[in-house]
Amino acid sequence: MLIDFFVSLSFYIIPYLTGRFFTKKIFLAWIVGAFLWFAIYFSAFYGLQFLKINNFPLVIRLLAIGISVLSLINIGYYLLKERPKPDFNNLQIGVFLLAFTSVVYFLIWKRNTPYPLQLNWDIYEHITLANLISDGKLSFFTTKISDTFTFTSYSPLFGILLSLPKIIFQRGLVGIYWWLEYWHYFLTAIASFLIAQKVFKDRGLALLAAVLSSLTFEAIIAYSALFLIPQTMVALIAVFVASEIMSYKKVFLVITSIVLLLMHYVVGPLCLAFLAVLYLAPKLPITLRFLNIMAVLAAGFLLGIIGLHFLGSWQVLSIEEASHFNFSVFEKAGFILDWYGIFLLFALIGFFSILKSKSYSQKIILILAIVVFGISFSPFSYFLKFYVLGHYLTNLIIVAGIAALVSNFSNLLKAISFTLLTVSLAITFYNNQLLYKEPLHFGNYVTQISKGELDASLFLASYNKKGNGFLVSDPSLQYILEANSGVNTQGGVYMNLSTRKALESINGSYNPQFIKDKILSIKDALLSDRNPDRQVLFAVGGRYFQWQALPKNQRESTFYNVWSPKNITPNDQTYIDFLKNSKQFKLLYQNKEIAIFQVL
Amino acid sequence: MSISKLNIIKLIALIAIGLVSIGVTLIRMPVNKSFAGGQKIEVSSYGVSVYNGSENLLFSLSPLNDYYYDGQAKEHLENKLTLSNNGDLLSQALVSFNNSVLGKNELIWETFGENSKGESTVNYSVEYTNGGIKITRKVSLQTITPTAIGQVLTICNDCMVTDDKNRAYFNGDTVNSYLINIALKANKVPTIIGENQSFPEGVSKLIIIGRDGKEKMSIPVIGESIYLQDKWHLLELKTSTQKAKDETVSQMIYFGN
Repeated sequence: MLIDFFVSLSFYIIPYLTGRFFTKKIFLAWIVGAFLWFAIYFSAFYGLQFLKINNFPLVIRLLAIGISVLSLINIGYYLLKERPKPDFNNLQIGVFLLAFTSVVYFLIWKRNTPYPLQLNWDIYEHITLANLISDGKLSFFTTKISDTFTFTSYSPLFGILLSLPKIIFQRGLVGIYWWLEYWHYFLTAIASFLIAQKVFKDRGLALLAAVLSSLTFEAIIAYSALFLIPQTMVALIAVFVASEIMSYKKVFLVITSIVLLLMHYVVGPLCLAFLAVLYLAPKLPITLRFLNIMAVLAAGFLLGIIGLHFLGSWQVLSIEEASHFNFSVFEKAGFILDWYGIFLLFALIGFFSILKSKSYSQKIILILAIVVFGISFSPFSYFLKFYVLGHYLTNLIIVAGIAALVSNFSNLLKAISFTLLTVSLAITFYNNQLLYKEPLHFGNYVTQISKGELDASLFLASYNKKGNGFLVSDPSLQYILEANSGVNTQGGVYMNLSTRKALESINGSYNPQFIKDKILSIKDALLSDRNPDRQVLFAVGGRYFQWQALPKNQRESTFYNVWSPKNITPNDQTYIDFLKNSKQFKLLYQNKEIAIFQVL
Repeated sequence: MSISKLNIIKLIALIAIGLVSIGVTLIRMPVNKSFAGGQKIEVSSYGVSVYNGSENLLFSLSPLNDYYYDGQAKEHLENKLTLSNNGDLLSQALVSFNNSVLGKNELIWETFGENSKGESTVNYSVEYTNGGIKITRKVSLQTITPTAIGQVLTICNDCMVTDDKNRAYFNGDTVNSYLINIALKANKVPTIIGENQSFPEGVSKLIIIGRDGKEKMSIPVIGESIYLQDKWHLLELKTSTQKAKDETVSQMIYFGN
């Protein structure tokens, strides 16, 4: 646990140390570093291919260690030469936010989710991708690296950055991820503080923005603060950049733009547009009146978007999962109540307060906040994803509303008001996270993965030393076991329909030859991964049996899964015993949750 | 220290928003679980699921499995479930009041979907009463007045359907010697029926047993036709309707020890 704590820091430190050669700005250095590692990975990949050298991980490890050591020497030299004085005011804020976010994160969010158990279902595809990249499988298209990805919505940049700790320290990523998500959470609070300080020029309000960010959790599709995934990462980068963009040189603006786009092809362009407005607006001869008109027009746009819901809803992507992410206006109103309580009333006060103010930056932020809110809540499937950026902007307008109410209060009254609001938000957050965790209970834990499943993954990893293993199970077990063991599956949780039908066909069957034939008929969707020497493994467990009990349409949908671990019941065991006693299956491993068979 | 009137109004507004926000949060907490009678009944966006004391699934309900009959034609109540909830705000408040004040144990699940004939709504009410649970389905189909409703339970994976005449039922395509042996060990007479063939007449009680032969639950039969799709673990009780626009049908389920 402690080792993973330190290793998790390398996700941020190594790109920072790499970019530090080119800039002293902390966030910019990380962005430049991320860009450089993207370039280094592809250069090393194609360079080694050209030289016919098959040692990609070793080359990356040596480069990472070498660059980091040189950068540390460079920083040490700078510190000795310049002797910069620490900013104790900023340090105090940092310590407060570290303490506050730690309390919320570890005592509320992860209270029943001890290391290394997880609450973020999306991490496993990123871990699978990072594992494959660590093994030297690289492509610009994630769909060509693993059939877990059914379409390309981002480049492998996030996977590359995630593979760095894996390659350097050669440790499994699930424990590292447990810590990484805390760092992400902490950084979202810092980012909220910095942008609020820039907009309001008031530390108290900036602190309130950071608290507000920490206590609002978009528990569906967006997941801004509590999940570390490419879409949340890109929004976080954009907000950090927004707080200092005017001081960026053009070359860094270009690099930042590239990193934003590579990080996420859908949210990245929105973040880029957001930064472009922030960068260009102050350079244009815009009056306060013009900005007020734009804000009113933006509000009209938002009302229009709400009205659009009554005309219908539209599915943007043709994939089946997208059809489940079209929500009515009332459902969306419910989401907002769950996330914010009625704190959006403060945003309404903030709207009028900013219209009255003489602050250019507040008016620009207001316009952007309304537009991003409107886009996010428009009646198109998946558009709620855009709210990863909206999280930060809406919070700023809420803070503006609270500021308008408390502006003439004494410091004591301000402190009482902020405390009351924090308590109210904390209750909303507590209820909201309970709702999210509700289907994830397993014994005394709240989790999507169990220690038993991690133990099974360790067994699989050790069994699959030749790398020719191919695992078949229900979608959720495939997803988890592939990420944590590295054993290939057909599509993980996104298994295709033909695999689903093959699994359906063996449900309830007591004909071992039929079961074997059906399992062997399942093939990886990536042609290059069809290994003639493959060793086929069949994992059944509590999840598998529950998945088989789902209605047919749910089994054939990528939207429905068995979200939490399940124990093998005595009745499940009779099926396991039946397989064990057949000539077609050999039991390799079993614990309370999973039995793994070799298909003979 | 004096506070201006304007500041007092602002302070009241701020406190009011904070308190109402807490109130809204508490109201939004859905009533979606009940632990009455030693069973856990859970309503989620996927369906109603009933678990025994060991957290093993006994059965689940969904409009995607239930049927309506229009003469000889038969279709799922919903082929696509577009939306579901635990009732509107008023219903939730009422259920909360009934459960907390009147000591009832009720859960509701309202679903909105569609089938090939148009939109449909199916509202489930699950109430612990008289030592068992009463499941009520209120069905409203846009264009159809159904002649019967097929109330379907997706029973536990390795459960076996038997009746009060000591028969254990199987479909021809899923039965095997392993299952037959289990039925014989439980002193049941293996009986093969087709997926579209109803159980013999005279059955007054269905008893669902586990592979160990122990009773898991029982369902009184009062004139319903019974069908089994063993492959999907679907047990259907076809109930005739009043041929009205909105139909309400219900069934009782009792649990074994």
